[in-house]
Amino acid sequence: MVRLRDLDSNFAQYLRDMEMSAPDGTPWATAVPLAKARVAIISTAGLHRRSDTRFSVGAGDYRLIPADVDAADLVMSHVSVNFDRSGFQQDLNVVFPLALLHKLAAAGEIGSVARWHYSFMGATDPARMAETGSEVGRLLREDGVTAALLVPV
Amino acid sequence: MRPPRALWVPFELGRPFGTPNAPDFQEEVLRSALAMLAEPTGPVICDFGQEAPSISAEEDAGPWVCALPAPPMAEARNEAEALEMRLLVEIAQLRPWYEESVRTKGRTALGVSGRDAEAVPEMAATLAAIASGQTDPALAVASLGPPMSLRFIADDLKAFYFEAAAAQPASRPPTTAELNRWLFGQTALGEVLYSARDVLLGSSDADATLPGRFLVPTLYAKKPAPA
Repeated sequence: MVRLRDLDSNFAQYLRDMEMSAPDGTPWATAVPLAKARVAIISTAGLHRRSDTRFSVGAGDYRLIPADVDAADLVMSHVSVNFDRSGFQQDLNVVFPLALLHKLAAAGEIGSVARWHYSFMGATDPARMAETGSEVGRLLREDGVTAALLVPV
Repeated sequence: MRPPRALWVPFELGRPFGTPNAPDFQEEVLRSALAMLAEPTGPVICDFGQEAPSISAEEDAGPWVCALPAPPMAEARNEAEALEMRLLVEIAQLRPWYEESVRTKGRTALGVSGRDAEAVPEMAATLAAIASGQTDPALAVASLGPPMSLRFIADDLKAFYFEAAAAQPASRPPTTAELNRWLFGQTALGEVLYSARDVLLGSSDADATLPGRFLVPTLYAKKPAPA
């Protein structure tokens, strides 16, 4: 997240005034050692494969991104026009570091890379993602994931 | 969101791992986040102590410039036609650089509208027709499908421009601000985006105003002055 003082003052004020819902309490889990962790990425960048349905305004649903996805197959339909896309255009890793995770797994720094990763559209009120978020949590557990890397855009 | 472990980074919106094509730095960010798994209690938030590697270094390398010479133009019947002609010539000039970008990177972010690079002139003409004010914006937007389709067309045009511009030889890559100042301040596409936005926001049809809100970033709501 950028420093608010580095943003255009109108946009910074818009973010300050934004009402955000949040879950009660903070979940906590003691993690397995990193070298044994199975890691998944949960992005809020509105990323998806070209064949997927685009995200709509206020969408609380998610798109599935397989671990062997071709970077050339990913596009971004996040609703906000107020964040940079030129970084993503040049290098997927700046927003979705899947290749870096594969590298860490190959080097034994993490245990493994999850088979599936997930993408939400982060401009949506998180309350609308409560159900789909729980669903993704169940899918992650079924995939044996022990660490989720939440990457906001 | 209340994540149990959070790494705060100071990078610009859209770049959570800092800088494109800086794998060592990106890995450092990733390792710092993953290292927090070892925290025994929480919730916990840590500051990532570094700024993104600078790609500006303007004082050393001079300003970034996208070479886009203005060729002689055929005579247009009116201002709108002249703008559309400039837009299409601009696209033709940028195409070899766009193709070079795709060839060297092996990918493009263009395509969120469901169209490919071959459709760029057609997408540009669609936007220019709305910008000209000579077509009913509500009908034009409706003819594309869901109202946000026009916004995704604009995204694809911007991707075509940004990827082409960044592929030109330069002593350093352009910054986000330089790309935006160029597109919104110096190109025919920028002019068309501003005019289309104004036409759409002036419409009484809600489906036409919706995409109008998503064509121009807040920071560039007004045309940037030349540097």
